[in-house]
Formats: sequence, structure tokens, C-alpha cells
Amino acid sequence: MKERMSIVLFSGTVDKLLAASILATGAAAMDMDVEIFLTTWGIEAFRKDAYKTNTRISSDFADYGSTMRELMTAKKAPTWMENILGAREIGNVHIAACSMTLDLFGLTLNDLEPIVDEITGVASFMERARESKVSLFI
Amino acid sequence: MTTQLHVDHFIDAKGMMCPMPIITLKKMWKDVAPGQIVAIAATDQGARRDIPTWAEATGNRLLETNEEQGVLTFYLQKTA
Amino acid sequence: MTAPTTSREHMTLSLDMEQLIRERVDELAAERVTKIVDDKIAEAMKKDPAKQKVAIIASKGTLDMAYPPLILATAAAAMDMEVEIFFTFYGLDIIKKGQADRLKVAPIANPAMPVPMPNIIGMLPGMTPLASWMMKSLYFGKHNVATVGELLDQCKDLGVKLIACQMTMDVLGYKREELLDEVEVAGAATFLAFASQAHTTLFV
Repeated sequence: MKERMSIVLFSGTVDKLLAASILATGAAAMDMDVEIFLTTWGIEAFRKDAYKTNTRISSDFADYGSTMRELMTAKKAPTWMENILGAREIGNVHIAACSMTLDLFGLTLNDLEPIVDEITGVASFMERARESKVSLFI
Repeated sequence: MTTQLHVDHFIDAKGMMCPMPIITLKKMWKDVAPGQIVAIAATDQGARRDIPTWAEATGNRLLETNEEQGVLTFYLQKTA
Repeated sequence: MTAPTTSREHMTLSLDMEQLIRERVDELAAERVTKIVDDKIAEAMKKDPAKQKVAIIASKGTLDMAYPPLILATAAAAMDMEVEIFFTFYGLDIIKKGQADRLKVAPIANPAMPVPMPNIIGMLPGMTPLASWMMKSLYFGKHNVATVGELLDQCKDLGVKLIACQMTMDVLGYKREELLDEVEVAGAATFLAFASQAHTTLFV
């Protein structure tokens, strides 16, 4: 059985998404399975095409937002979506969306990026998390 | 698909959102005798995976799953 | 092997055969042993008590951040797992008597929330109640989502252990009687003793 990393992705700001996506890439490169459970603002970030216009960063550091974006463009750093797609190419990355949040926001699986695999509830996530070497809440 | 199973308890979890269907299931489980069959109807899309996962995690048996007009019905037997 | 063979040829053949058999047996043994070891590991994993434990730290006291620890905890408890939530810093607000359903969504100092309007508005007085009202009515009000108070009741019913951090209670000036009766007051060491035996540890 491969080792696994499980992430509850609760945040929808670019800085947090970047952190989660880099960890996913790293884990996939280390031959670990990656489980990502999208909930609340994390669902918002994975709405179709939302990543193209999402420039939000954690409000505590909002004043750094534009500088960070400029630096990332200048240094040609991959976006968080590119990281996730890259992780999926090299490894087993499973992305599930929280049924409760989808219901609250009035969304279906079709409203999300095609990289999202399925809708599940929190019990399915817990079952995967309990078998994980690393569990994170981001 | 119609089921021939004899249902001992029925839980109407329609309209309940995650994680309430499995919590309701867990809480009523102590009143279920071994071998008895419980049917639970849910509309939460997360239940599709959560209830089978719950059954496996708690060592109980999922006998059958039906879906009719957006309502998922799971038939579970108490084996643990 | 019907053709007659000289003893010399026979010897070579049997040597080759022996070599082949040895290689094949080694191969089969390796395969079999790997399978046995894998099965044993899977079996041990199933019985691993750490798989049955979840430790959660709740450090934020906003409405949206109160949900994840409680939902994860109740779901895990429903799956027969042993769960402890350690409430520290602003997380203590969640377990304050009469406070559960008065929690607010705060765009400031809430790094997870994408602010749906220019950030400066978040600093205006009156913004926090407005954002809370928005979230409560838009997101949680009209739906069948359990309230924070209901989820705390479920925690109690399902045997989820709620622990208030002694140190932050002192720092923030919380008295024992201000917190829910079912809460246990303890230090970080108590929580860590449990967390060190849990596969799943989450910081919210």
C-alpha cells in the first residue's frame, strides 16, 4: 500500500491554494497518493474558470497581494492550478468536493473544474485520512 | 428496482445534509438488533459514498442501494 | 525424454534443470513472501489503534471556521473513531455557554475567507455583523445544515471529548463556568499524549 497525504482544502485564497498545490506536487513526486477534500472556500476556488480570475490572498496579508502576483509573473512561477495538474500527471491525486458546501452554494459537479473527481461527504474523507501518513487542514 | 428485503427500521434522512445522515444512522444503531435490516433514504450527494464507507468502517453489511428520483436508499444489515 | 542419453549428457541436463528449478523456486518464494508480508501489514494496519483516533485543534472562533472541527469530529465519531478536540485561543469561543449560535464571520484576521468586496470595508464598524448575517442567511440559514450548537450536542451524544486549553483560558480570562459543562479543562500535554497515538491530527 502506498503512503498517502490527505488535505482538507478549506481556503480559497491564492496563497493557501499555492501551499496546498505545492505539497500535492511534492507528495506525488515522492510517490505518495494524494487525497484532497474541497470544502467551503476551497469549493469556490475550483469553480469552472474561477482560477483564471482569482487574485484573492489571505486578508491578513492583503497589502502584499499585488507584489506577490508581480513577483510570481516575473519569476514565471507556476500557478497553483498548474501545480495541481502537474501533480495529477505524475501521481495519483484524488480530488473530492464536499456535498454540503455544493448544496449550500447551489452547485453541481458540472460547475467545477473537470479535475474534481467526485462529490463525497466527510465520512469518506475521514476514512482516507485515517490511513494517511500526513493529514493537513489548509 | 424493487427490493424484497424485510426492513426492520426506516430512517428518513431526506433533506439532511452531511454529516447528519451518518450521525443519525450511528445514533439509532444501538437500538438495532443483530441481523436486523435498516433502510435509510437520503438526498445528500455525499451519502452515495459516505454510507457504504460507514458500513465498511463499522463492520456492517450494505445489502443494496437504490436510486429513485434523486433519493438514495441504502439497505444495511447489522453484523457488528 | 525418450531419446537415450549418455550419462555425461544426462549430468549436464540435470544440472541445467536444477539451476532452472532453483531460480524458479527463488522467484516463487520471493513472490509468496512479499504477498504474505503485504497481507500481514494490511492486517496489522486494520488493527492499528492509531487508525481509530482523531485529534483536532480548533484555534479559530469565527462561524465558518467553527464548522470544520465539529463536522470532522462528529463524522469520525459516527465511524466508531475516538475523537478529541482541543479548543485553544479563539477556538474557546465555540465552547462558551450560549455563544455557539452567536459566532460571526470575520473577514479580518480570517485568512481563509476570500473577501467578496474591497478589503477596506472589512475594517468598517458594522461589517462583521453584516458578513455574519450574509453567511448565516445565504449559506446556512435556509438549509438543513446543523447549527454549531446542534453539532456540539451531537459531539456530546457521540462521546467526542472536548478539551479547553488551560493556558489560553488564563490568558484570555475565561472562567470554567463560562464554558459548556461537558468540556474538560486540560493542558497541551494531555492533548499531545492523545495526539501522539492518532494517525489523523488536524489543526484548524
